[in-house]
Amino acid sequence: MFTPLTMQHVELSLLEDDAAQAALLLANFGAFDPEIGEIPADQLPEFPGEAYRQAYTETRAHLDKILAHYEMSAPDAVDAPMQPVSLRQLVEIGAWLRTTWGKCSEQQERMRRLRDELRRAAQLLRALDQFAHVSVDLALLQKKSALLDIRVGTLPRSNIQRFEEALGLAGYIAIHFFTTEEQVHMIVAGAVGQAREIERVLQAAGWRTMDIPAEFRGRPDEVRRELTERLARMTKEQAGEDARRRDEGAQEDLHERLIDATHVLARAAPYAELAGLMRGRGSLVMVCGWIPSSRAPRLKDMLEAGFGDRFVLRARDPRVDERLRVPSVIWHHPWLRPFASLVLNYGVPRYGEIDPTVFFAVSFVLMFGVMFGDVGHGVSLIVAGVLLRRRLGQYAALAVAVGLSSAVFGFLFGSVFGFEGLLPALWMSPLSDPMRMLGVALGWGIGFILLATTLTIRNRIVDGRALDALFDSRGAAGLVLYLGLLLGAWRYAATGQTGIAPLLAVCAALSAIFAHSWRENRRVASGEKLMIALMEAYESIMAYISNTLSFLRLAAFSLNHVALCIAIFTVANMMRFAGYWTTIVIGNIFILVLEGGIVGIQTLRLEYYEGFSRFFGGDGRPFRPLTLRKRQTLAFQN
Amino acid sequence: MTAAQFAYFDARVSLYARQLIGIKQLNAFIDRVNGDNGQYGLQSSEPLQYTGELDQSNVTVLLSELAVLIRPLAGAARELLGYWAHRFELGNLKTIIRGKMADQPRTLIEQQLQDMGAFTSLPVDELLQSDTPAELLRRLEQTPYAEIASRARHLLEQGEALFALDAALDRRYFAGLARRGRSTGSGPTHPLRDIVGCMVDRVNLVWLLRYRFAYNLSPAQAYYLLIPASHRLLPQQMQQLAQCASFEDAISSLSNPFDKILEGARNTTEVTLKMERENWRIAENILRHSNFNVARALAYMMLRERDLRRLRAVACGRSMQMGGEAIRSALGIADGGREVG
Repeated sequence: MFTPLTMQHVELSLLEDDAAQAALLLANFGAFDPEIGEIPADQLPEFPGEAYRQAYTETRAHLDKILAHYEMSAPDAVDAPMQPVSLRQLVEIGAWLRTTWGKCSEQQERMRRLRDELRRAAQLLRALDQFAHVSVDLALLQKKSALLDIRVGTLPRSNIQRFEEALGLAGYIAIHFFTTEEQVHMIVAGAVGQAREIERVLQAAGWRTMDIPAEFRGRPDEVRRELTERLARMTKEQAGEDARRRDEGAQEDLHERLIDATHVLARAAPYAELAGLMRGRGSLVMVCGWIPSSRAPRLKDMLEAGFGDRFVLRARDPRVDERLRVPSVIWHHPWLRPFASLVLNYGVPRYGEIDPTVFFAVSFVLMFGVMFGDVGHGVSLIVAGVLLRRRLGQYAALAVAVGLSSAVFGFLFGSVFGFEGLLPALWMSPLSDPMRMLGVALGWGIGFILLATTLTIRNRIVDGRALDALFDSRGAAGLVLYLGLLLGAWRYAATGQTGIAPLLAVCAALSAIFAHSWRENRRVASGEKLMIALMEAYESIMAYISNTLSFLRLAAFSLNHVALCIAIFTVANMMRFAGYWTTIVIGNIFILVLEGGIVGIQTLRLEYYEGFSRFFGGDGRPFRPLTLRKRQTLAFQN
Repeated sequence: MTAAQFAYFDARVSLYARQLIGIKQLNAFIDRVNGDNGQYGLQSSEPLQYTGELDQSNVTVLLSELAVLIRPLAGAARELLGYWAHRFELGNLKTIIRGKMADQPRTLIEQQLQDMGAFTSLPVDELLQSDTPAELLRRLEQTPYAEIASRARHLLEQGEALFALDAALDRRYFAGLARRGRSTGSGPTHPLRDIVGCMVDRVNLVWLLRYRFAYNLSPAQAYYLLIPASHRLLPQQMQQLAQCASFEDAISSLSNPFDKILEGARNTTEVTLKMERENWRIAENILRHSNFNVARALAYMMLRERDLRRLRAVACGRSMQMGGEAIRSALGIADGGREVG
């Protein structure tokens, strides 16, 4: 519960002929996380499953594409889960899927062409709008003539009259066919001999030639009719292609064959996946991986039942040097899942490292309750968690837990939706004695940091980093420094003097931190090393003080909660009955949503920054067992 | 960009800039018989086949350093540096398209791809799964390279050579870089405009000469294929160059500063080298004489890439039993530790 499950490294050696069956057995076993073996490549130079893996990868790709094309989904369960798939079977299915995909791909290409043509036709229709008032064959406007010079283009609206007069001088006429706020679209026509004369006029007037699409042949209404018909025809073709695709997908024999292929590939997947990690020589193959120690007898039984004495299974405990490679498997009650998920969001516990989920869950719930203590708000969170359990999923339990904590602290503070007279406070209202609240928050922070530092020391010892555990600023030396600072501060507050013992503790701890830092940076130049060591010692004092003060936000937010309620009641009291209750309801919703969210974020920040960053490495390897379905990260296994 | 905002970034660039290799160090490296290649990020001990390209380990080094530099940045500056990295991905895209057109097996195409790590935006696996070029282009339409897919389809339907597609891809990339350079660099004298502009000028000039006098394209086509951006090499100058009848005419008609930079260039390869050298000079200037700007990172990346290419060339030369002078000559470095044109 507090550390990942004990793991064992296993090496499974068996005959190559049994490899596919063994992979399937390991997938059914469901608790084997494979990894690259340690045997040197010259001893086991072959990759016996490589051809199988390549065939599987190609076949799987085709199957996925076909399933997506027919909008089919793969079944959840796998038929005959212990029946292995041979390479020949895989190749046969692969050939059929390749042919099937070829047809699907052609259909997709046809659909793609139709889409492009539809888009083009729609663009042409939009472009045709400009020519709506032209009553000539548009093909004539595109044609070069020996006698007539015809140009189509746009001009800015200003100075149109002068432009037309100038054209008239050259024997040209202008016909407007479309006008926007800024531009006039027009046709300019005249004798070819005068073309050069008007070039300069057009240039000076800001003429822009319009390209008429080659498809515009005929009068605009005829072109429009033709384009509309083309659009309708293509839309129909598109619908036809789509219907054909659906019909094909619904064909029973194709559907069944595809589902069969899905089952076969699901059974082939474990061996294909292991093939990349499996090494061999001749008829012998070997695969390595990790299993929870508690499951080792079960694996042995399964292998004996499957292969009799045709296998060798070697198991050993993890070595110290491979701790980072050992996957972490952690068991938690379903109620702790949302908290475990938030822990996982920060990182996976390293093998042997303390799993902070339980500490996190308890402290998160308590801190949220202190900062958001109100019976009404707590009950609202519980009700929301229960009613929205489907939508919230595993986080419904989190909502219920923090709601319960809020309600309990609400009883202690005597607050129901901000009304302080309805229930007697079992302890006190935060605003009645803010100093005491600050004291409690400080006490909580000190306890939190002491616990976090103790866990850091423990984790470092387990990691084999004894010197860090003793002399680092977050190790035992840091703990002594912190205790010295606390004792000194307490004595100073009580008697006005710190006393000799705290000073000695602080000096001794700082010396240890300084010496440790000096040693750690032994390759750095002396001046720089001195600077680093001094800064580290100074930073450790500042960090402990600031981290402790950071917990004052517990009290600050509980006071803030009350202050917000008072603000709402002040506004409500200015109104009559309806206004009063409307303000109270809206104000409480505001508090629930906005302040609730802020408190949640602040709590998480305290956990991650003040807690996890001290003792939790979070750089563990998640447990990803081989299964018949897609391999998933199972850092937290139930 | 303010000093406070970019203090960490600037310090990072300065720290990285310390590992750039000067000519003296390079000469020493060439002369060392059994040198320590790993010191400079060159890991391979196998005999190398120099192709003028960076290998995967070099790309990994560049991208990992870029990832560190990019971390404190946000907005346009971050996007610009990220975009710079996409040139390797563009190489991957070309490899995939070429491979699929040539019906190469998946594994063979995969071997030629560079791992882009966190800078990957191309769904390489999906693209490799396509059976035909048409399917590849359909899949490409679902990516940020959708525009390229339709361009590629059009070019292939027109029966154009793959060269046209490569040119379109490169043009699109450099046009994007120029656009980002313009929008990120504020003020006409901003070093970012200089460094990106010089890069664009180099590519334009080399392409123009290559298209006109190596591929014998018409002036109009050669000009059209250039990047629609420029810095010191103005569009009018490029039009004039495109209309020159021979390579020598083009070189002699260059105006200041390109006439001095390219003095004595006899072919496109020499033009490339000289223009690259000019780019490195500008990059070194920016790195030395400017502060708190994203151009320094770009300058560093350019120089770091130069170093990695040079080291790879030296290692290849050694594996081919070439002498120090031959390697120096190939790299364009004279005896006295000075670069020669």
